[in-house]
Amino acid sequence: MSANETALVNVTGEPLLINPNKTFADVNAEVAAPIERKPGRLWWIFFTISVLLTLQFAAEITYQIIKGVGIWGLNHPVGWAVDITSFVFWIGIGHAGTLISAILHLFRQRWRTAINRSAEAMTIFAVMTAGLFPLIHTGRPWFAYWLVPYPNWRYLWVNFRSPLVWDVFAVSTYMTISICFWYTGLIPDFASLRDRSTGWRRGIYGVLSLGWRGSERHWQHYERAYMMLAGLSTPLVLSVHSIVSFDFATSILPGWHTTIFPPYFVAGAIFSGFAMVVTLLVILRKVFKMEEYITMHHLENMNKIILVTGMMVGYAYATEFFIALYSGNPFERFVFLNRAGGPFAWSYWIMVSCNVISPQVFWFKRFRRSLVVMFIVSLLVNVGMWFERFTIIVTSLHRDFLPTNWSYYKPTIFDFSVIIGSFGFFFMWFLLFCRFFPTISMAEVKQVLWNSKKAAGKVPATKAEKIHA
Amino acid sequence: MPRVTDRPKHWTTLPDREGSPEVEALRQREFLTPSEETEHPSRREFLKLVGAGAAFLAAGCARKPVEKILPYVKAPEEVSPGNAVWYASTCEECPAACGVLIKTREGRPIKLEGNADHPVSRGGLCARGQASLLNLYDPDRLRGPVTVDRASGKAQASTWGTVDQRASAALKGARDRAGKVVLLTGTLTSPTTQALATQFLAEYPGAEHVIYDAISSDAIAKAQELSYGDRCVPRYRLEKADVLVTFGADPLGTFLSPVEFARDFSKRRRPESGSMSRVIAVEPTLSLTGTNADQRIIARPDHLFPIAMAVAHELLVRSPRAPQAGDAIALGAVRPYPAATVEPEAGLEPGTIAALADELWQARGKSLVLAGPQAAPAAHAVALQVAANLLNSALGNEGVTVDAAARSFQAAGSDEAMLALVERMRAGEVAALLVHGANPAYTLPAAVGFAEATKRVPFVACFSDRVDETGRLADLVAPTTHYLESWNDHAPRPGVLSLTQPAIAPLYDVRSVQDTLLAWARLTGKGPLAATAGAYHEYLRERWRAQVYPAADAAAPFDLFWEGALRTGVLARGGDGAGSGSPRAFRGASLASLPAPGKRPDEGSLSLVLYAPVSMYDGRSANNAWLQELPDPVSKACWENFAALSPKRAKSLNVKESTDSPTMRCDIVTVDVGHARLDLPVVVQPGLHDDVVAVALGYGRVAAGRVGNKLGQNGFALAEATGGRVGMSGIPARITRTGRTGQLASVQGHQYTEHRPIIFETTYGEYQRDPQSGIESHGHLPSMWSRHKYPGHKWGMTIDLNACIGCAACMIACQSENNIPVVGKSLVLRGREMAWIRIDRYYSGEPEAPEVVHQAMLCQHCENAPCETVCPVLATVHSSEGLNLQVYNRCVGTRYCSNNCPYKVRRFNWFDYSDVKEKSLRLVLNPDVTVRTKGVMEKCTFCVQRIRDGKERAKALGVPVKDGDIVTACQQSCPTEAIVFGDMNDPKSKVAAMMKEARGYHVLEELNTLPSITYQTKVRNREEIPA
Amino acid sequence: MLELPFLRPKPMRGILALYDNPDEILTAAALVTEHGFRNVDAYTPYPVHGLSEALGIRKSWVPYVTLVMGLTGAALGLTFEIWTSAIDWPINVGGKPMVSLPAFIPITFESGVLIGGTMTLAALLVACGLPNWQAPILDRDLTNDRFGLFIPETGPAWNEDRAIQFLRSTRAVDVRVIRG
Repeated sequence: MSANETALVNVTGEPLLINPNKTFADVNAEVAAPIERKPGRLWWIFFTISVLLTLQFAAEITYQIIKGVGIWGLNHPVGWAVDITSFVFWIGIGHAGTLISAILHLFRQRWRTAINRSAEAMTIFAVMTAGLFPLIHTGRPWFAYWLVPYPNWRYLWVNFRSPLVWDVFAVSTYMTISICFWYTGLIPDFASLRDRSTGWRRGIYGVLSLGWRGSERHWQHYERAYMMLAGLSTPLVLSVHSIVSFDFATSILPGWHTTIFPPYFVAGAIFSGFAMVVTLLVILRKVFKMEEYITMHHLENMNKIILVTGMMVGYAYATEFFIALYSGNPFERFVFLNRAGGPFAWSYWIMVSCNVISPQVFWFKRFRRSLVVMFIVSLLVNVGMWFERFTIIVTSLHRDFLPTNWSYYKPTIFDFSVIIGSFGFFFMWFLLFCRFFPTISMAEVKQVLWNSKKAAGKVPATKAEKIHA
Repeated sequence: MPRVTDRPKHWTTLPDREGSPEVEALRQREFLTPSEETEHPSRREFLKLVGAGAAFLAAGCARKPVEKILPYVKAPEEVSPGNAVWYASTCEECPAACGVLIKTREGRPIKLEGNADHPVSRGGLCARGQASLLNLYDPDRLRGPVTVDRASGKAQASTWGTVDQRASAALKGARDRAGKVVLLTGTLTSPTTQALATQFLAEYPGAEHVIYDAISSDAIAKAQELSYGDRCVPRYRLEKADVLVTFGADPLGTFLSPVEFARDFSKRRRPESGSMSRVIAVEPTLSLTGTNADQRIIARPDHLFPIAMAVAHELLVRSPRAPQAGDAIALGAVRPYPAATVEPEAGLEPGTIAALADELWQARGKSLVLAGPQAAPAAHAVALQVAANLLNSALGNEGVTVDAAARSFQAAGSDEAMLALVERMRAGEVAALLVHGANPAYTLPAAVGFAEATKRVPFVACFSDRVDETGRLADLVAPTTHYLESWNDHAPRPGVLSLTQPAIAPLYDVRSVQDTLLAWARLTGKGPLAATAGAYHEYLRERWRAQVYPAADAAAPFDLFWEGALRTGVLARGGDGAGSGSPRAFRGASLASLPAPGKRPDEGSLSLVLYAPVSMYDGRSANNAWLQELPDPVSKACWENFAALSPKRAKSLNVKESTDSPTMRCDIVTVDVGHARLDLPVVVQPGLHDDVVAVALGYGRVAAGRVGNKLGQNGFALAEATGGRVGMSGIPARITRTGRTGQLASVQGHQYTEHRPIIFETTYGEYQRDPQSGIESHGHLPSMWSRHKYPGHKWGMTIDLNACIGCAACMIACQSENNIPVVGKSLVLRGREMAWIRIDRYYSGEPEAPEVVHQAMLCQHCENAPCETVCPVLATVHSSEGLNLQVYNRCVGTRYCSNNCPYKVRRFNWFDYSDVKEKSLRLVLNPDVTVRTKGVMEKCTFCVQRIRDGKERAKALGVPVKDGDIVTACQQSCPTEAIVFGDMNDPKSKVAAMMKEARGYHVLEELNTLPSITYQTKVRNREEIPA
Repeated sequence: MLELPFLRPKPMRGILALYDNPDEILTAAALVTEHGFRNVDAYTPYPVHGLSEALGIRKSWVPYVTLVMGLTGAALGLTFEIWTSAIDWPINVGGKPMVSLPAFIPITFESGVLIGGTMTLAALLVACGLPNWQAPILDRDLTNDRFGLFIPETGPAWNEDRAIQFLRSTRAVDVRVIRG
């Protein structure tokens, strides 16, 4: 670990969020640097790969629309598999962003300032990716807009009792509010970029900043509005994954019909989301040399959250298993025994080992602060959380009420194509974001910086003082 | 399923052979199913799509172009667009000759239903009978006459002129050189065709008419001849039997006249009627009858005869009761078979035989011993029948349940005659061979050497609708009409005479066999037919005028009489026949010639049993995709045959079946009978005798057509021909593992109910104590909501598990009525079959000797339908009459409804199945039912189109809908009347009455989905309570 | 910079003082109102707490918009669900009542959040009169590391020298006269 990664502490020994020796100008300069210089080779490599993956994804979708969704391994009774699994997975990923920016903001967790911008971006791109799956999983995607209640000559609305319609509202609301929240945060930084750039960049950032001047009168409204959006996003993020879990919880299928799902899904979402944030930041701070802003302190905090939520998820697994056995409902009982011991046991145990066991290493400070360990664990957690949804969906479906229907699910190359495709799609957007948007909220960091300076007793002698001396 | 192009290029029409582009295009297509195209794209195609993908994202997707349609102008006579016209006729799929009603729309037959007025079928129609409709539109039918190059088997399109000339020349030649002319046919139930044949052959000295059935009842006829001195196949009266004991016979499956037997059987299986028959099946394999038996005695094929004799021994010797007890020969014959020796031999529980004998004796005069003609080894076949005759006579069943007066004309074939013919052909004694309704080249054991024998026959002509295996050995094939295109009459038994009339003009340049015979007779010009004029229609009419009309002593003039006959489709004289009542004397002498007790084969040796499956029978309709995809009622496998082994045997051989492994792969074994061997996938069949390997017949056709070729293996090749008899049972076989594995398409994933509240069953004894016995009901289930009101109609259905025999007739009825696509093996393997109604077959008890229940499973039309709640776009909602509607054009295909359906009866269009490439196959579609496009969910609608039709007819007449006006397709076809549909709100309706009965329950009741379908418990006629 | 019509600044007149840390602008702001200057505004790279109190800027009314609009959105959502499912075209779905209240709650909540959130952003823009690309940029470093106090030229009683005097007296690192 380099010197600037060793935590700086204030007089009372609490770690400083940022090196107090920096000046306000440094912040602008360093945050804007990646945007102003040409992208490096690493960026181009990542970007090219992402674009290629996205293209094959597009090809898969085209072919699927021509031939039919049957090119996937789905069957009767397994009507959903990779499609909805990935949908829930990506929605879950999104949640960490909102949690970091909204909830931590409400709880005055200052350390969020370095990471909330990229976390919010991650939210938006994750939700975009997630949104693709409900569209393409339908048999007739060109009619998917029928899920939206719009006036039409059939005088036919939608079924507001269907969790899929709830999803439509939840996800679109989530998307909209996340964008509002994100953009609000960006306005002052666009202004900063405008004021340090020239030419067409200045024009673009000028427009994006909406002509922000940093007037105190504006800051006054701005801060309250930002607080309000944070206040709205917090219950929203909880509701969204609860509603996603309703897709299963409100059905009658054993293994789906479970009251524990809403909290269980939310915890899982935060869990996977934070893992994804860690994955991204470990790369980002390296590629864009942000070590001084995204410090080990930030990463450690997130690893702590991963440990906590990981154990919540583990608790949920244990609870639903116990209740299934305890309930005496033969269908429930069978489903869970079938999960752990049936033909899909492998996926169940991948889930358990990745989500419950692997985060346990974060009990140790050494591992919490080791880039390598946290990177591996965060990847494992993401794998595990994907398989959690897969386990819930497929193992419940493939052996349900009537044994005659029992079957197995075998994915085709197209199932794999959509999985990797979705990752390509997500990273494509994220890389573009890193390239053109400030990945760290300059305005907020300056606040933190000033506090650090004070805490470290490093308020510099000002020019004014010299004059008056 | 292999691609069409993987198969040897065998062609049907000239442009086909010359490879015209459109035919080539057709060849590239999977018949009826796009499954092949929907396999993964080539790498090149995929790369193209990468570009396309990007473009697509920008462009979005375009809708299909509008297609121009034209109104139906100048409607022909009797056809009013949109209204069905029905014709009464007779099914010729098999010689059972059931009466059918042909539903035609705009002049094309679109559905076959049983004719309720017909004394044989009485409204039911079997799966194969209904599926025979598809054969009419089979694109692989011959379009016109062909000549065949015998050497290569290649056919050459020809004209009737040439074909007739060539045939008549050959026949003249034969006649003038006093050569032998042989007409080889399957059983002809048509007296007129029979007469025509006789007259046709009259001009040829020493001509012969050989009748041959691939699945023959010859042994029965022969035994009847021995025992009663009259060669016949009697009529078995199941409805009169309190106790039915079958020895390897499958009357409910494929034996003789299944629809008739099923109907008679079911008459005695309703406990509400106050009595219930008892069925005991003594059999090596698990036959459809066995699955419905109250008791099964599993025995090797070569033990059936000893067991039958041991039963006789009980009656004649151990405790002499029967009249034959005095007959010295009889006593001599049965003495070697005391239960004490037979039971250990056959591995039966001690006392089994005594109990069997006692039961039969108690029901004497009201019992029936029915032995299967191919159940025992060739050497035992006749003996077993004689033993059965002895028993029936001893028990006084003769003349009651065994009715020789109303004998059956449905199986006249003779193995002896056939084998003798081959001998004569080989000896070069046959100058001309005309084959109709038989395919010996395929159905005779290879060992018989039919193919070689034909080489010695100067002229061979085939009457068939395709160049089949036999046609390839012929000089010419005179393409025959489908029976829906032809005239004929049928007499399945004395006193029943039904007509076959064309419901559509011949689709192609083809001619009925009778017309061809007439044409040839006129060309050869010496025989009694030479003088006649006109088509077979006239010949038929004249014969009726001369013979049927006088006998009928009808008041009306002949023309009216004739039209009347055409309208009803059947003349039934003497009604149903109460049985002759006059028992024939049993000739003890017939027992003299019985074989000595067979010695027990060495331990662990296997004996092969070949059986005719419900779907394929003898393979005559192998090119029929409906039948190919129809799962076997017992094994639930489709699209090919397999080697069935008992669980114990499979274990000892260490072979696995598909359902054992998540990879869905099963071992492939070699079945070797010495003179032939086949490689077949394995199915582990509970209830099979451990020493038996069972193989279905009817598969492995090579000249059936693009669908039927190269599916499975030809079981006939394993049959043996010994002692003037074709043996299909008890053939010593060896099984070896090939080490290879294969995929066998099966539609059922698990065979046991796992004690879930799906099937409720009880015993007759229990039932009498408490009619509700066996049902675990939760009584009242609380609900958050109050129920919706259904004023007016509320449609509902009852299904009696005790009556459902699993014959699968309803599946084909539904498929035909509702335009349900066939998806092909590759997609069945992926669980994509489309059946709206399926038959779940559950085992219970020990895998060695399981009990079986068949449960027709279809959309339950739940009042609280879980599928409806979750559909986001209101594509599935509830109607005011209690129907669970599926709105195809609103469906976007989320499949959420299917996921949430506890019965999993919804089917999804994974690909575009509605786009039928073969034009002729589009003609079979029912215009009242829309075809479903790619990406939408579909399911049983309770035949909503029939409900509408019924209501409109009632409305037109200004009367309310009566119970029975509206009949669903499955209900109509059901030979056992297990399915009852109607208005639950109508207190007088049959369905309402049935629902009140104590045996009613709902599947998965505690989910409180409130299904509109009520099932009735399975009642087994035995005392002890099921475990 | 790019010359776009809507980016061409509108003139602004007054005196701007620049500070290089938040504490000093706070002390200056505390004095400026005592010296009787009105409509004084501050330009800072990030919200400096206490500044608005010092300059006597009223608290924002945006939160009330959020509250009202949130409730309105929820009400609209529920009304719409009930109208479509029970009034416009009532359909029997899975035996559920036409008004299946429990099932309608999720969308009620979501529509509340949707309207509330979007309206909050709208209110913010209205309150700040954004977008407004024509306000002049007094100093490029005001979004970077400078904190500016701006005394606008107000009315006839305006005394420029007094303003300059005052600002000089604070710890401003630079004092500028802004003219157009």
